[in-house]
Amino acid sequence: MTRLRPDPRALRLRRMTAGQAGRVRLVPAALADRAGQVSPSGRLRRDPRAERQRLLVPGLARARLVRDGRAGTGGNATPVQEARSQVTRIDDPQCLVMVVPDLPDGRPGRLDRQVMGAARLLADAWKGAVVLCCPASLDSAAYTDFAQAGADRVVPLPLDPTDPERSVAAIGDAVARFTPRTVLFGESTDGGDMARRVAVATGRSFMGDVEVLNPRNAIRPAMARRSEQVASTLPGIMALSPDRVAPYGGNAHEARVTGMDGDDRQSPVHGGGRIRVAPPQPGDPATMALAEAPFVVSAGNGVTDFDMFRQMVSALHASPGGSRMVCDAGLLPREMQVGASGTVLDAICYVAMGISGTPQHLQGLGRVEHVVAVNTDLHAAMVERAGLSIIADAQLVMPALLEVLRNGTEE
Amino acid sequence: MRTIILLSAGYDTVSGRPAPVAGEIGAIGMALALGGEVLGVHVGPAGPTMREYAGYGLERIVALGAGQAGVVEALAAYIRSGAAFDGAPVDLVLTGRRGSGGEDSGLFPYALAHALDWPIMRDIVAIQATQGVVEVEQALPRGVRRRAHVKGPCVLGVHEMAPFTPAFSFAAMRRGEVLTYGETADSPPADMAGADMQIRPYRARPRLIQAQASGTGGQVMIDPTPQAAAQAIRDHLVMLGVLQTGR
Repeated sequence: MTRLRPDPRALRLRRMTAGQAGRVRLVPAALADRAGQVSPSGRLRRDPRAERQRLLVPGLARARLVRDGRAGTGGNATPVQEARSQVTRIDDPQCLVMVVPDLPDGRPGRLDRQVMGAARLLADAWKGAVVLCCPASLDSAAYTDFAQAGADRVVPLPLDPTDPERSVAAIGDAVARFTPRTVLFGESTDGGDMARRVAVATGRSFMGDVEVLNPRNAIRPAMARRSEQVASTLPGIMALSPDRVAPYGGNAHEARVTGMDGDDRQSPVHGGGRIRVAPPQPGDPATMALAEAPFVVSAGNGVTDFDMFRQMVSALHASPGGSRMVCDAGLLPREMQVGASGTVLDAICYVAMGISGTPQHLQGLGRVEHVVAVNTDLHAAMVERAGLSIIADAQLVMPALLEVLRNGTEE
Repeated sequence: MRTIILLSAGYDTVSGRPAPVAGEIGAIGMALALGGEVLGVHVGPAGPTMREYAGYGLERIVALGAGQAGVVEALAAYIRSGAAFDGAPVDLVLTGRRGSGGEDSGLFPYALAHALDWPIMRDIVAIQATQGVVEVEQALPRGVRRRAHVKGPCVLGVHEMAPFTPAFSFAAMRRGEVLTYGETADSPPADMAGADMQIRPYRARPRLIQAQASGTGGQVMIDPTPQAAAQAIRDHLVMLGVLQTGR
C-alpha cells in the first residue's frame, strides 16, 4: 500500500481553532492547511486577489473568470503582455532543456508554443536555459518568434523533411553534444514520431502523451486511459499533449544562435536513405472523412435544393455536411451529419446554410475556428457563433454564390 | 508478401474488460487486403482476446514466450529466425498505433524496428508493395496525405482512419488456431510502477481554454441582396485563406 492511513484524531486536532467565548471551533477540512491565514479571532482570512487569479483564463486581453470548478488553468500561467521590450539573457545555465518544435509552415505553431512554455517552466525552476533545435534552412524572421516564445539558444541542424532517419541522427548528435536534462517534443503526428525515434536511438527514458508537466512530476494516461503514470523524476525525452501547458507570455529571451561547435564533423548518418518522404498533398474534400475535413459546408432545414447545394460545395472545394433534420429526412447520408449524434468536426472553417444551431449541432463544431452563417433568423444561436452572418434565405444566396465563384474562376 | 501483425492483449477503454485493440484490427484488415501469408504474433500467454483477433480473419496466431529475454529481443529473434513462415524471411511487420491496457506509450514498434535495424513509419492509411520497396501513404491531420517509399523489410503502424476494418465472424474465431512458441515460462509482466514511477487511477484534467477570436458574434448583414451576400461570403472565405481564388 502506498497510501497513508489517515489519522482522524490528528486531523480533527489540526482543524480546531479557538472560537468566541472560550468555545472550540472546527475549521472546514479543506481550509485547515492554511493555518497561518487564520486571524486572531479565529476567522479565516480570504485572499480575494489570489482567488481571482486562480479563476482567470490566461492569454486573453479581457479578463475572463471561470467559476465552474475547471479553473486552475490560470493559476500557474505566466504573466501576459508585460514589458516585452526587455530581453532576458541566461549566460551561465545550470542545465539545459531541449525543445524540438514541429514548425508547420516554418513558424512555431500553437502546440510548439505550448511545448516552449513547458520548457520555459522547467528551465526557470532548474535555473537552466532552453535550447531550441530548428532546421538550418529556416529564415531568420522565425528567430524573433523563437525569442518571444522563450528560447535562450537556437541550434540550426541539418534536419531533412524527406528522411526522418537523417533528422534523428542530427537530433541525436545535438543531444550528445548538449546533454540536456530533458528533451521536449509536441505529441503531434510528426513530433510524436520523432520523439519515439530519438528515444530508441539515444536510449533515453521516454514518456509520451504527457498531460501534466511541472518540475516535480509528469503525468500521462496508461492502461487504456483508466490509470495514470506519475513520474517523479522527469524522463529524458517527453512528448507533450496539445492544450495542456500554457504558452510562455513573459519577456523575450535571447534566442542566441549556437552552432554544434567543438568537433565540427559532419555526423556519419547511420541508416539514412531507407525512407524517402514526398511533400504532403491536401486530400480530396469530396471523399474525405468529415472528422478530418478542413473546410465544411453544411445544409440545414433552410436548404431545399440539394443539387444546387452539391454544386456549390464542389465549387467551394469543401466537404459537404448536414444537420440532423436533413439527414433524418434522407436528403443527405448519415455519415455527413454534424453534431452530437454525428461527427464532431476538426475543421478550420464551417459554413452553415440555413442552420439555426441547436446546442447538439453546435457541439459538433468543437474546435472550429471560423464560422459563416446564412440564416433568416437574426437571433439564431448559429448567428451568435459566426464571424460573418448573412440574414437572408439560404436558398437565394446559394445560386448567387455559385455565380460569383464561377465568375471568379473565369477571370 | 509475408506479413506479421503484432497483437496485444488489450482492454476496452470504457468497460475495462479484455478486448482487441482497434488499431490492430485495422492492421489485420490492411494485411488481408495486401494479400500473401499473414501471421499474428503476441508476446505473452495466449488469452481469450487472441481468439477474438482470429475472428477478424486471422487464421494463425502465435503466442510467443519471451523466456528470460526481454519482450523486444525475443520478438526480434523470432522474426530473424524465420520460424514464422517455415524459414522464409518476413517482409513486413504491421502494428497498431499504440496498445490499450498496458503502458500504451506507442514506443514498442520503434524499439522493435531499432532492434531489427529496419525502417519504421506510422499513421499509414494505404500500402503498395513492389519488388523490395513498399510505397505507403501517411495520414496527417485535416485530411492531408503524404506518400513515402520505404526500402526493404519494414515496420509500419496503421492509422485509425485506414479504411480496412474487417468484419468479425464467429466461425472464423472458432476456426483460427492459436499456437504457442518458445519458452512459455510465465515471466511476470513488466512492472510499470517503480521507485520514481507511480500508478494511480486516471483523473481527467481540463484542457487549456482557447482564447476565441470572435466570442459573441461578428459581422452581421441584415437582408442584403443575394449578390452582395455571395460576394461578402466569398471575400470572407478568401480572407480566411480557405478558398483559393486561382483554382
